[in-house]
Amino acid sequence: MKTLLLLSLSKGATIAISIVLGVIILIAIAAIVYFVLKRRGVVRCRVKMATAHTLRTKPIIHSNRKSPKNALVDTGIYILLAIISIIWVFPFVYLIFSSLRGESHGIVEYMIPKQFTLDNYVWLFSGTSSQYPFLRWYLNTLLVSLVVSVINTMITLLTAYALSRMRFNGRKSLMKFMLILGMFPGFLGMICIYYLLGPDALGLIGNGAPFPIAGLMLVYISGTMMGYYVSKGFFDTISRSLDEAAMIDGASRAKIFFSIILPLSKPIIIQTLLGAFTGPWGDYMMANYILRGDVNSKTVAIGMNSMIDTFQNRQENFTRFCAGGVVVSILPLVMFFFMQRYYVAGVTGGSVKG
Amino acid sequence: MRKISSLEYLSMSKATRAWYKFCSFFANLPVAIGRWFRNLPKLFGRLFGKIGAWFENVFDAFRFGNWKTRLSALIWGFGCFAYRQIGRGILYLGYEIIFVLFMVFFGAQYLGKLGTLGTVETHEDPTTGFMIVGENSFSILLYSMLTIIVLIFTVVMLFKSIKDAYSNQLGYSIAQRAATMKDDVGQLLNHKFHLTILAFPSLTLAVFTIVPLLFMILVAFTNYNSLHLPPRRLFSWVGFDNFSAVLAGNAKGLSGAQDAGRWSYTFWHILGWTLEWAVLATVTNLFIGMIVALLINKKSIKLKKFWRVCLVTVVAVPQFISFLLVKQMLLDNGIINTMLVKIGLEPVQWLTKSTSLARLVIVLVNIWVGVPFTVLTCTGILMNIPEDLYEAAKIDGANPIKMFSKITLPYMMFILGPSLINTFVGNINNFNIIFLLTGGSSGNVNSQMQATAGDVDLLITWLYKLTVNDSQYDVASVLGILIFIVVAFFSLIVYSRIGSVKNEEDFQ
Repeated sequence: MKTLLLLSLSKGATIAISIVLGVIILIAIAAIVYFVLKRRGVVRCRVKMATAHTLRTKPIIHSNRKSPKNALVDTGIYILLAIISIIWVFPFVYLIFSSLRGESHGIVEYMIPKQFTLDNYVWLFSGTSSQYPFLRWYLNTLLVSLVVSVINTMITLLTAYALSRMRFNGRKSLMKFMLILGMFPGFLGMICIYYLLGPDALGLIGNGAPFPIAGLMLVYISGTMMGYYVSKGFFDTISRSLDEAAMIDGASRAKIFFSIILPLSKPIIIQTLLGAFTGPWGDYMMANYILRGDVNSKTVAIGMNSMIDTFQNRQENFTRFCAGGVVVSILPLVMFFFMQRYYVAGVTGGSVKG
Repeated sequence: MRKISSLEYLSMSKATRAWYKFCSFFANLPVAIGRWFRNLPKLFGRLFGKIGAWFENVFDAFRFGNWKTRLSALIWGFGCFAYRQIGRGILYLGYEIIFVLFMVFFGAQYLGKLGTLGTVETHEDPTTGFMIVGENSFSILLYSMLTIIVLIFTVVMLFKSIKDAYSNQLGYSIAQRAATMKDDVGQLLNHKFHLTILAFPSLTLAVFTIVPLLFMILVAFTNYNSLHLPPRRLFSWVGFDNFSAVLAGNAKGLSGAQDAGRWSYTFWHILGWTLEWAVLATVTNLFIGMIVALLINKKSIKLKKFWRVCLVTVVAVPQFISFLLVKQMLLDNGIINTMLVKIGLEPVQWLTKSTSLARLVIVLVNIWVGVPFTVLTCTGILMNIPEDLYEAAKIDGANPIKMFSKITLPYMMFILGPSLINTFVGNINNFNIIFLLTGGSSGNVNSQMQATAGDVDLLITWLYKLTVNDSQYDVASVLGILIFIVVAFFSLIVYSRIGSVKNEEDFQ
């Protein structure tokens, strides 16, 4: 929090701190990469051992028999997938090219820039513009997303566990109640939430509040419980005989959750974590309403929208917006690529047989 | 619709059967809805029966309990102190003291004014010329809601205190000891683990979701709009005026009274487009996503990781960047039109030419953004299907198509089912794509509509505009409630048809 306040001191300090932070983030990413790679090696060994008796290497459906008809079908699929990939990736290629364009800041009629430059990125982080303090926005968003993703994942998984595994009075009613509650548009209560968080009640946001993004975090955390469906669906597919075995051995419910269910649920943990991270990371509606006014406490979504909201701004800032877009996308991209394998890791397949 | 025999049904081809099921679903819809309403009294009867049983329990405890039990209705936790449950007793007593203080210094004053929502407006004192701060309808309504919720919770706690004391009394007469604090804490990690888990989320849910929602539901019955803004002015109860204005066009209480009928025209118009959009967006994403996922996960396809990476890019890049970027690409002088001109075609005004073209483009952009999510989810599910199912099917001689329709598809729908209705609701409330891509309007003004709404606005973006730009909170609340009714209607239909809600214990 103090470092955040320091950033508004002077240009020199801002640059110094951004360099330090940049180095720290780089080191952190390097460390994460190192550990992930190291883990991978270990995990791979285990998987190999496991497959020996769970028959994982056996193909599920025997459609890869070598016959000309199948080869033709596969070629068609490859062509289709190639077209799909091109359509899906094209806008981001355009984004990256635009962010590297040096000759004009506006929208131009060609894609590949005539002059490559990194000026747009430098401009974002140098803090030269008091109207667009991008670094502040970025750090705000990072803080909100990290805190919210951790807390929300815990809440979601625990709620899903309670509703999937435990049978208590009012369980069905609670599920129905949350279902009904979730049918109201979340923005409906916003005026009221604004008042509750505002200067007349809690004083977290509004005029002169020191740390309005804390209010935003609360808003993101408040409704999480209702998003238990997917995790509950996942827990429902984990065999209950595991629980029963552990209970016979004298494990408590808490112990079962933390030492049996959680280790089996990596895919859903990762999925929930990513969802809870990317939600606040890209949210516009709530953030725009809660963080009105102060330019320094904005998140990237509202800040970057203000960079290109009018024709005038667009002509001045489009390439900078693109650079910002690339910077904002890097973290989620890195997270997705490293955690992607959890999506495809079958967990329950071999844990209990027959 | 003609009822057919099972023999006739079996003799139909697959496609006819599907069509028959589809038709009979809609033909039976009125009957099903009627049945649902007929069952409503039974539902309420059961609910009240439960509440009644609960009261009866407490009454029994009071009647058969000794003096210690009875006293604990007045001094909470007395029944705990008497049986040496000090920790629990302190919690009860502490809650009682806090509750009394809360009611005396805070709750009572607001609760008393709930009927009128305040009578003293902020005004200038005629003799001294000072401004006198009047009552604030907003805080009266809000804090009354809060107090009512605290009251309900207190009644629950009171009953629990009595029942606790009674069970202590019973338990003590048998075992000569009551549960200690240590037992209680141990229970919170074992058989009552759900209480530990759900306490904090429920609290935030109550304060920041339930209270605001109840508040806004009540606002729909007041005239809280730009003409009656607290703290300067008071607002008051108006009954169903707002609903009749939005649904039927009797705009008597609203600030825009001169254009009666516009509100309702705008509402029905936007509702139509919202439903059209939600169905289109959900169906296209589900089917295209499922097909792409099956293609990528087909055993003989190589480079699985590469294809997935291409799609994951879209998931990983924040949506607001995608939408703002695509908006720039679709501009009149944007990159897509430039490319069209280069290959010799006419440029198209994608988002501003006409309402229907703008809508089509929105659906297409949504496919671009939404399909990768479905693909990722489906991939996760496909990888999670227990392989012994396939092994068993293979031994029984099933072909791949049979295995797909009997194992893969049911399994996918089992997990996707609940999230499907979530997606549908999410699409009805899909703010980002409409607002960031078009701002709610394609620039083609529909003169019959309220000026606050654009032609591609969804209900949620209209609600947003009414709240943020126009301070029409009363109509916004009505809209919110109507959105809820729409969503609830579709959810009920779907939930009564999806197995995963009914048969929770399947796939174990």
